[in-house]
Amino acid sequence: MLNTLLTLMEPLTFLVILLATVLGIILGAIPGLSGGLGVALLLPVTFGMEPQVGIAMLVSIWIGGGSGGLIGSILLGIPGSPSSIATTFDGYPMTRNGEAVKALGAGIVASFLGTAFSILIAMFLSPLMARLALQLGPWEYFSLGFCAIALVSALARGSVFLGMSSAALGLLLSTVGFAPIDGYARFTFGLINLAGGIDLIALMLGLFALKQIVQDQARGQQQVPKVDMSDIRGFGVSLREYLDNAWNIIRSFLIGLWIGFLPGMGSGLANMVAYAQAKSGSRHPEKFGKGTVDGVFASETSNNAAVGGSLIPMVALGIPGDGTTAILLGGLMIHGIQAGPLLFANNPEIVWALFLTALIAAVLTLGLQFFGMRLFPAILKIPYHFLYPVIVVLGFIGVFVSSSTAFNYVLLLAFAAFGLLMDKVRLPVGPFILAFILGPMLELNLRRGITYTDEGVWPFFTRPISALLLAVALFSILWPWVGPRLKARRAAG
Amino acid sequence: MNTERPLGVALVALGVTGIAVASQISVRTFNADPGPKLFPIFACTILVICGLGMILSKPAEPGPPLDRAGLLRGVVMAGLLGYYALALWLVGFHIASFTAVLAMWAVIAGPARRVWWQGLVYAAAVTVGVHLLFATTLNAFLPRGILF
Repeated sequence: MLNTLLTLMEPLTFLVILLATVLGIILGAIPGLSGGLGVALLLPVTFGMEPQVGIAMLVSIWIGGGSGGLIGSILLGIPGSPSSIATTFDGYPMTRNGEAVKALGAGIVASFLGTAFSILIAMFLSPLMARLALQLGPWEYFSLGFCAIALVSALARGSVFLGMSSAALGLLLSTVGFAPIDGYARFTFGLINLAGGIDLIALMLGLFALKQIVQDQARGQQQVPKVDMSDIRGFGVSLREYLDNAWNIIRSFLIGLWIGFLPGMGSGLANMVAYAQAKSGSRHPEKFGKGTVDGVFASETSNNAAVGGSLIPMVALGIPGDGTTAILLGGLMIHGIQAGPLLFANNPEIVWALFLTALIAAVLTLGLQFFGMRLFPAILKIPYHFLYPVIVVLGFIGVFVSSSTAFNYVLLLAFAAFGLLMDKVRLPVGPFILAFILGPMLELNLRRGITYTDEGVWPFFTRPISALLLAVALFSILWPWVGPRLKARRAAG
Repeated sequence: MNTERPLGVALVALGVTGIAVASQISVRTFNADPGPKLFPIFACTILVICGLGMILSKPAEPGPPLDRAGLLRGVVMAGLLGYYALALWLVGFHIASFTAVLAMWAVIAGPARRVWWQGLVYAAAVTVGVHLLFATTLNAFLPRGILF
């Protein structure tokens, strides 16, 4: 481990890590781009590098990008990736209330805590936790995903019917394209561009970026309110607020770590579940969505905790936790390194390079963002007639670059229109996106669960963990309806 | 106008149509495998239940309506986004981006803030900047038009 650390601290290698972290933060902050895209684009650059240096560069971009996503989410209300969607729920309202620096400070600290501690846990508990994950079958994975959707839907703005119907629309949309297992093309209407499913980047940029621009123009809004920069000390968050959020941060960290390490889940789910839990466990849930720092702490701790979590199955089992770790896994394979149980024995220097680089990049990200957080709000001083055209161009080019097809322009516009319609009829966007992301995983595990035994759907209800998760899902759906009636009866009695 | 009941009706209609369409899917895989129609039917069933719930429950207070001028501003911006998509497809990144950025800048700025030389410099800077970021730095392909 010490030898690997010394290698990583060599001036040239350290410079690579520093520059890659900066690039990751920038890519994560720009709407339409992300650290994951940066890892994919720069993967070929590592071909000629030493494996440790190449891996260090990719991991640094990933870590920087994961944290950089909070900048766009908080300042512009546009998440760079699914992992920072929940950050927009309170981060952007805080910006609108003139508390952008505080939101950024909370997000930066939460990101660091989530990344650093999850990496430390991953370093020492990878083999043990990987064995635990192997105990779960498709029944538990399906129930966990469904439970997450139910929790987020039940806690969304408006009635539970609105939340669940939004989630159902997301599930339905996720079935467009080739079905898992048999590859049957569904709801493609003969369009080859829909065969691979609906592009997530186009969906996100349409629902968040373009919709926001049309909406602000319709409202005649020219600029967000001024940010109060006076009396900002440290990260802009008081000790009282850290202490008040201690349990929120710990809970969100555990949620992120657990969800991150379940193969196929990832930080896109973690931030939503942690946000929903923070809201349900809060003494003032009515403040969520209007600009409370608790929501930013929950989302940013959990999505970064998922980073360390997703490294566990990647390193210990050779199973990627999400899309970006799949590319990282590809990077290892390009350098002739096979991830899996034997990695610790055959290439311990690579394992340590992965973990130590992630830690170094997390510390660098913290430092870079600490100095940058007073500068980032300068973006808000840009009048909308200069800011929004750039976002539009980046959005359109971002969806083109990710797929090289002009069809995604149509999707981008369609989802902007759909986002406006959702706002009009008060359908919450959170359950929709979460269900869309989890849909393929849910379907695959539902079908596997039914196929693996002769008992049909019964194992979903008879296996203890699966049954418990489904019970939580049912309870969370029914509670908004049952809870007020019980309270009223108690008050009357 | 209250939107929950019309939305409920639309969701029930969508759900029923989805179930009908998905039921037509017929693929044989494994004996116990429910096939690719199960999950769309599952999603559509939730839609139908939620739609019925919205129809039968008490609707919430309607939100404030958008004024006519605001609606017009929104439609113009949506039209510009449509123009940019079409122009990217027809004439490619450089011409489409320069003209669309200039048009969006002019529309959002309004007559009071519009200084044309600033807009022209800005549109050129955005086009060149995005070209440098994607084509030069990231070595990615930018859209080429089908016309030229």
